[in-house]
Order: sequence, then C-alpha cells, then structure tokens
Amino acid sequence: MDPRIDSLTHGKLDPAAARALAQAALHDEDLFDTLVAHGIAELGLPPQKRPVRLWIAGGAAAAIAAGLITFAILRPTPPRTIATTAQPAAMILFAAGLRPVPASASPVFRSDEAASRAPKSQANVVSIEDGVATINAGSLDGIEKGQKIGALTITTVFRERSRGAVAKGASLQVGDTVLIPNAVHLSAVLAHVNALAASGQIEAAREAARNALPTGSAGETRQLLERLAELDYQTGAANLARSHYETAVNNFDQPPAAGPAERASTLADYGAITLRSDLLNQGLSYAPSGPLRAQMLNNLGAVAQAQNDAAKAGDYYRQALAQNPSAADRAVIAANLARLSSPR
Amino acid sequence: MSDTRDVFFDYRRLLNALGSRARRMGSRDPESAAQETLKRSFENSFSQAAIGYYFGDELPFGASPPEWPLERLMAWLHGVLHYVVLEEHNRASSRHEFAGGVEGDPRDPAPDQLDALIRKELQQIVVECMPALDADYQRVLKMRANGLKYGDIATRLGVSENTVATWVSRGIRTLAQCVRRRTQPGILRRLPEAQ
Repeated sequence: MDPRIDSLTHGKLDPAAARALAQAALHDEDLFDTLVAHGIAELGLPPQKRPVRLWIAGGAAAAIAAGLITFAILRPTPPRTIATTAQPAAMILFAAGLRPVPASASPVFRSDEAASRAPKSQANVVSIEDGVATINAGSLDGIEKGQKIGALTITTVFRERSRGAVAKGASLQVGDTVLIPNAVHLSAVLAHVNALAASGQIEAAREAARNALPTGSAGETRQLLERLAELDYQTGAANLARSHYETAVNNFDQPPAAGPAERASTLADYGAITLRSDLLNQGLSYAPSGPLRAQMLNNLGAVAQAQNDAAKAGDYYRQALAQNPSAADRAVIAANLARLSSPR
Repeated sequence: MSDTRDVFFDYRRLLNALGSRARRMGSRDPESAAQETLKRSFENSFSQAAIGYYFGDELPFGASPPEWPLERLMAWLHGVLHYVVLEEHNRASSRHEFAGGVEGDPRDPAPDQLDALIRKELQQIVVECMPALDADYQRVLKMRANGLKYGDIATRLGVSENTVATWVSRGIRTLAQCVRRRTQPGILRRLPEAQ
C-alpha cells in the first residue's frame, strides 16, 4: 500500500501531499479504490444520533440514550468506557460493570464443554465408605471444602464429585439426594453464567441466569439479576436491562442485604445506561472515595453536559479528577473536561 | 456550454479516470457518464472546491485547502459516478420496457437530494462490505467514522495506537477490495429511491 495512505489514515497527510496523492490516483485504480474506501469508511457508516437532541425527547430520552450506549457495549473486547454518542465532541461514560467478563474472572476452570453444563441444585450420594460419602457434585456446582451440604461436611472437592464426612447419627444411603444450599448453587450459577459470557455465549448465559432466578429468594438472586441486566444490555435488550436493574435496586434490602460495594456498582451501571443523575447520586453515597466514585462523578458530568449545563459538567469532571482515578480513567475524564471548552 | 467545455478540458485527466471507472461499472457511454459526474459534482460547492484543489492542473498560489478532505471527495465521486451509471442502465431498461411510449427517465435530483442519494449508496456499500471485515476492523472503522481519534479508540479498546492504526489500515484495504468488486460489470445495484 502507498505509504501516503498510512499518513492519510493517521490524519498526517498535509494538503499538498494529498493533492499529489489525488493526482497519482488518476493513474492507479487500486489507489483510487483505496481512497474511495477511506471516504466510505468515514461517510458511509450511518451517523450516530446526537445526545442533546435525544435528551430533548423528554421521557424517551433515557431509553434512547441507553440504546446509543449499546453500540459501544456490544464490543467483544472489554471496554473500559462507553460513549453516549459517537460524535467527535461526545463525552465518555464509564460503565465497567457492563463489559463482558474476561475468562479469568471465572473462579472455576470451565472448559467449553463444562461451561455448557449448568450447576446442579441437588446431588446424589454415589458411595459411602467408612463414614465418608461421595456425591456427584463438585467444584462446577459451587462445592468447596468445609461446606455443609445436607448431612455432609465436605472434605475433598473435584470438578464433578466431592467427598464429605457424614454427620454422626445421620442415616445416609447410596442414591439419597442432598440439596445444595441456595447460596452455594446461585454462586455456582453466577460463575457458570460468567464462563458462558466470557466464551461469547451471551444468549446461553442469559438463559442460564434466567433459569436460575426462581431457585432463590429475591435477595439471594439479586446478584444474578444484576448480572442478567448487564448481559441484557450487552445484547441490546436495553429495556429488559433497565427492568432487571430496577428490580435488583428494589431488592437491595432483601436478605442477604446488598453491601455498599454492590449498591454502588449497580447504581453506577443502572445510572449510566439510563443517564439518570438521581441514581448516580445515590450510588455516590455508597462510594465515598476511589475509582468507582470518580467514574460516577464523570458520568454525572456527562449527564450534565448532555443537558447543556457545561458549568455543572465541568464541576463534576474536576471532582472526578480529584478522586485519584486510574491513569486510563484520568485520561478519559480529562478528555471530557477538555471537550467542554473545545466542542469539536 | 463553452464554460462546461472548458471545465471538461481542465479536468480531462480526472474525466479519463472516471471514464475508465464508468467502463468498469458497465457503462455503455463511459465518457458521457464521466462528464455527467463532473457536471453534477460542480453543482455542489464543496465537491467543486475540492475538485479544483485536488485535480486542477495547476494550484493557484496561496490556495487554501478545501473543506472536504481528499477521501471524502473520492467517495463522493465514486458515489455520483455509480449513480449516473445506474441512471443510464435504468434509462436503457425503461426504453426497453416502454418502447414507443413515454420515456421514463428518473427525475434529476437537486444537489442536496443527490447528496442524500450518494450517502445512501455509500451506506449500502458499507452494509454489504462490513460483514466481511474482522470484528476489530469494523469496530475501529466505526469509531473512526464517528470522529474518534486514534488515541481515543486505543483508550476505549485498551490497545495501542499502533494496533488501532493497523486495524484501520487493514479494514480500509478490505473495504477497497469490496469497492473494486462492486465496480465490476454486472453487479450494479438497484437505483436508490429519492428521499
């Protein structure tokens, strides 16, 4: 390829050189096509809508704005940030919770085959010897050493099987069913969902999450619901995502009650996709300092900017910078702040 | 008319190139198609200025660069030429279908209408060609199209600027191959409807 194309790609081709390139293209069809392709790449893609115009749409604004964010969220590589719009002057929102989970985040190694097996909510005793029972559920089902599963205290865990000491006085026989506690099972389902999502099987992950929702109480399934909301959003089901986030937020106080970190991250993501400052402000109350607070302040700035309140936006961005964000986040926040004074 | 002839003379090399492309697109009268493309491009002040700057034989001393960058002009010229050749095909088929009847030439669109049609045509190319691109290439091209700088894209995707540049470059190359395929005879698409 003509080295000048690289310069053009980088935006570093001065007008005189561009003129020479244009003249050269008159005798070189490949070069002509390449320049056309360049233009098509910049012109032919449907333009993204402007957030301000959408904001004026009033009640529908949040829904539409969330739709805009979907574009960036659908990326398979983990996005650190999302854009409210793709305009050059667009501010950038953080929504780390909406990014796909990397494979390493799954606590149990799950091969592709294993990822397709849903965790069990109950297991069977397959053998008993010298007061030690073996059940057909293992680490893939959330079993860990030391856990109490029915009359068993788990002593050894494999992927598909576990061994445990039978409690004194318990009458356990081969073939008996032991129930895996909801907390253990739902934790395993969450890991399974994450493994599926990490391997790109987003729809399977959503289905696994949905199927497990009835197996626990509102409080027990809340984190799964939050994960489902993220996955909904990643697949473009913004309305479902909002609905699931809303339910999760309503269930914050259901036992086991959500801790500050869970509340902050959920409100941060819910606020980001709906561009609702009330949710973001609520989230701030659970994150007194740290990177998440910086991200939420940045997002509040973006919301203010979308409402054409540059002064407020600038104030939020500056507050975000004062929260000691990570280097990458700092760059984004600083860029948002800079865009306030130079809109293009 | 003499003005038009002067323009055609001044931009004869561009006309030759456009004519060659028109022939590739299956035009039966590539020279006329090229001239029509140039004529219509001169009805748009942005493309007119850009053509003067990039393709004029001599650049006037101190001439300032046009508002349209080169790649935008090239995409425009491709789009207009494609449109003109399609019109030619449609005219031919109308004549065939309505032999002896009222000739069904499509209405000549106003410049802004033409702009919309060209954009539509370019978007159609993207719709057809983008799926062939690797997901990473698609992603960076979309971001570029939306005005993001390499640094912004690199930050968002968590990769280096060099990687972004490589993906853009490869994506463009693949798009160029697709553009070339689309200018082969026999694959002209239906003329887009005026909006």
